[in-house]
Amino acid sequence: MSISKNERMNGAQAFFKVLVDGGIDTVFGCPGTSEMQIIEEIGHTNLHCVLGLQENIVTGMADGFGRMADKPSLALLHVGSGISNGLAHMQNARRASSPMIVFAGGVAANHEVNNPEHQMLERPHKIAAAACDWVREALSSDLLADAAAQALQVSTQGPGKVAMVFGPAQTFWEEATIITDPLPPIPARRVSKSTIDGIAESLKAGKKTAILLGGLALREDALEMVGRIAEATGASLWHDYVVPRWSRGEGTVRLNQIPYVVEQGIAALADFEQIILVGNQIPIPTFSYKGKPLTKVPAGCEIKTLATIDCDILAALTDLADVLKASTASSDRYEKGTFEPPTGTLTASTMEQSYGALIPENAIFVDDSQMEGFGFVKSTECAPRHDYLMSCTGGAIGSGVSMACGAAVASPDRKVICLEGDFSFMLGPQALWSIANQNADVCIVNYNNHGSASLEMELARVRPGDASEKSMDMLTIRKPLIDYLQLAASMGVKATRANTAEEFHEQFAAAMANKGPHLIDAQIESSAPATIKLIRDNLVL
Amino acid sequence: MSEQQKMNGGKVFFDTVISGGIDTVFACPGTSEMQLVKEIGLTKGLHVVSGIHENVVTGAADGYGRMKDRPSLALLHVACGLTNGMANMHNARRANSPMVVFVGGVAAYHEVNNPEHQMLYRPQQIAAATTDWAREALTGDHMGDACAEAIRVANSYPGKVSLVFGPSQAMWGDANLLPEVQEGTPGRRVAQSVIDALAEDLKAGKKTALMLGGRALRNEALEIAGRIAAATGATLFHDSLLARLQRGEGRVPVQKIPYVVEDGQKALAEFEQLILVGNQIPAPAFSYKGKPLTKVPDSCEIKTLATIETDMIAALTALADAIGVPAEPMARQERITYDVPSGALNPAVVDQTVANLLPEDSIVIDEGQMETFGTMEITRGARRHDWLSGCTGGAIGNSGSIAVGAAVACPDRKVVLLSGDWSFMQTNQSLWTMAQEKADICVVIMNNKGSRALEMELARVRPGDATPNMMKMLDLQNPDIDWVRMSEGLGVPATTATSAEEFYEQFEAAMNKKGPHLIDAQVESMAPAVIKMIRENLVL
Repeated sequence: MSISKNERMNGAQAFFKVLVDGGIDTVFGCPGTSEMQIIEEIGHTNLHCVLGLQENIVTGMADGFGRMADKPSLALLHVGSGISNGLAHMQNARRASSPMIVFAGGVAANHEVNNPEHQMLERPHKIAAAACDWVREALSSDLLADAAAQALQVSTQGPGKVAMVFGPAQTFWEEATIITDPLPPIPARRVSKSTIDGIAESLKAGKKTAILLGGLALREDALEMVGRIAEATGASLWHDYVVPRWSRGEGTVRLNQIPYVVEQGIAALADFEQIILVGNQIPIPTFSYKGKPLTKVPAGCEIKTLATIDCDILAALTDLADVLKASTASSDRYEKGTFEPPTGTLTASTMEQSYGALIPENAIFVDDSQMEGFGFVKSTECAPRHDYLMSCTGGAIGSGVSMACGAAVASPDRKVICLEGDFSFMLGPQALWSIANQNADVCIVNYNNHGSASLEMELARVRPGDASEKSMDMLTIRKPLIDYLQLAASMGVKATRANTAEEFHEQFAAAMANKGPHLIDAQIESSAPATIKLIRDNLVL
Repeated sequence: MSEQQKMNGGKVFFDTVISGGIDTVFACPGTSEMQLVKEIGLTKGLHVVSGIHENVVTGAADGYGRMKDRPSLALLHVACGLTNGMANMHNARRANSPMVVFVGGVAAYHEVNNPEHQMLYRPQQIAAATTDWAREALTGDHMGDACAEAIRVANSYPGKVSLVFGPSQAMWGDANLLPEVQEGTPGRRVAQSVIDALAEDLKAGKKTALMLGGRALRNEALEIAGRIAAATGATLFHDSLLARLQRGEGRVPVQKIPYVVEDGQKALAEFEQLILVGNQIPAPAFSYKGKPLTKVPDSCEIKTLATIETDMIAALTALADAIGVPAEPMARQERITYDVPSGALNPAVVDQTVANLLPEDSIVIDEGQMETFGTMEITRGARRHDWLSGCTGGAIGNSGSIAVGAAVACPDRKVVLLSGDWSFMQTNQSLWTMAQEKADICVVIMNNKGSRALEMELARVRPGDATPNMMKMLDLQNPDIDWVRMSEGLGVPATTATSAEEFYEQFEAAMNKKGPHLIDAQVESMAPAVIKMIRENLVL
């Protein structure tokens, strides 16, 4: 539609009109000079604005929001430096298929020649391409509004995409002459009948089969459908170690986890003759190790694909169930668990007991606890219903606290519990301020083992014997120890410290009983020694 | 090479690092760098400084490079680590800081198995935006070779940011070659014809500004520039953001071109010609509707004596010789002290306190944003010191990390950091590294509870007051940040100053002891006055 004379608007106004009409209601931002025209326009809208004090906080919050709301927010960043600062958590979001629109402003295009050495202020979309599904530079105010409409369409494709618009400053203040109506949504891709039939045949062939679920296959409706398929065919159901969002707990269909460590992953899948991928890629270790396999798939095991992440997974599973005449609901479900209040030394496993005993129905777990959380999924499987979000889907640690904030903004009536490693935490402690600012209902559990047990494990892979002190200094936070209580309090989040299982249980119970932010600094006994022993027993140098 | 000395890429890399004269590593490693962490543990003569965020690592390497004029190694983890550290690499590149960056990645042959994981691979393609040179090492031998070339490039005049990307198989792969590290490319020489023409221009009696940047802001170059000024009446200027300026008592004084575009235009209004000496045309960092694109008036001619890569001493000496200059510069800065301030704590009080108490040969890092707009003027007669601007590339929040690097480079010199509260929150993790290194840094947080600089920039785009929804994105008041607890939480002792007397006392105490200290200076902001000026010049 074109704009009549009496409703003249500039590019920034047109941009927000398109976004608001398209359903955007939340902005996470860390603006700078070139975005002030945008801030001015936000000031005239009813958008819910959340400030992040570093750009990864902004993109991390938008990721948590997108995973829980299943719709995009706007992440507002500043020039190339802001983009690069927020890129790590955009990468996590992209790998989690979180819907998100990123906007970055820049200097006016005619300023570029006057400041030729300043290329990070210009063309940040070229850097962003590495972590976005779609990027567009808007070169006029009309193209800015146009790009907003396209970004809305792209970001809601499949389970969600990261779409980015870059706008130089002149596009904000120049007059806009058109506003586009919202574009129609792109429907999820359907899987062809021949593929469905082929997979059905291979499931009926009596081979030992693992169905590996990812993306929207981990939501309740899809799990019910795949549960029928398993019931009918005897296939076993699996999820990858890294999952964007899994609706699980008491009463849901049982899944098996492929462990993170490559040796354990291979052992877990050793018996299978075929793996069927449903919204997940081939299971692999994130990193490569000398002399170690490149995937967790045993030799001789066939791999077939029912659906990629962008396919309509529920439809594909429904079609497959129909062909298989699988109409009986799964009998293999997580039963109600019994979780005794733990006592004694505080470990990840006693904390998991406390979670099982104390979490309310419909809680949201955000997991950035790294190695200390290796046992979490198993030991809390019978806890009350909850959503489980693993933060570093793209391998970038430290987004847990900001994701928890975004999840709480998206789901204000649900308790959010953030499991955060102390080393990971330090990549984005500024998220505490946003949590306090939003009075978000988030309980952060800091798994404090004074450093990175995960990296200690990885270091054990490259050498026999003990690590040198100099090497260990690079992996630990001991000189000095960080006082997380002071850090939390400094940014407005009240915090307590737990040294024993009993103390943790009591503090966690109080946090569950109250609304609002709370941090528990859990001084745990690290689980590193056991895992390091496993690595050593399998060392290839 | 004999069998007993069999090496891998990781070992050759560090042998090359050592033979190339690098003795300091700033690091934030991850899984793919464990082979290097192992080698670092076995390498003698390396000082390892950990950062708990990548921008701390690259910011510290920037501060180190500016003070040492030779590179350190910044060790990062895959593309996410690289992008996390890229903003401060960009600041470093714009400051011409020498720095070698290493980024590890998964083995190249792993890529096909993990096709959606492109941020683990080929980070050198992303890095191109902020590096002068980047190379991927694909084998063990490439690791040494690429390292040697990276060090040579970093050492090229006046300092470059170079990057080596090494996938894991290159780190553990066999290596035979131990390359020699060559000298960096020296500064370029200026043709005599250019020198002669500029000498004529300077003698023509036109009102001239010499726009100094890069190595022209070091003492030796300033002495020559000062003598040229004495002979020709030219005025010496530096840009509002600079890599490193040697100034204070006894040094040749240089005037600042203000940050705000209107103020910058005013400062240069009378000049007929402007000669660039290692600086670009003075331009506002950002663009504003209806405002000029540079700070140079249309009537002023612009000429270039030297680009940033020109041998500045040679160029200035040649120009001085062609002109014929006196033995002494046009002026030397005299010591200026102030009455001990009292009453309300405002930025001028901070400046006067610093002017009185700054020890000789200290290092001042400035990222006070709007609240330090006047600091250079008030501290011009402080004891001699080096002045380093934060955010030379426009990326705020690097100054705490620069301070770390400067303190590691110069352990016998006091480092004073003036930082905005908003800026500091970008990379507050630098406090932990200050504590780890027991670095001799006094951090002054110019605490105006938000970004008054952005409040000023917001005033540029609208008449009237900002709405609450606008200020939500610029204020740090819900909640207030407790700087003392944050600092102590990360291991740095801290105090709060709410009056001029308290600030003076706390700053004096900090100058008289070694080690890190943070002062939360709750200042009365300069914003209202600056915003008034912006409003009076508004173009909508």
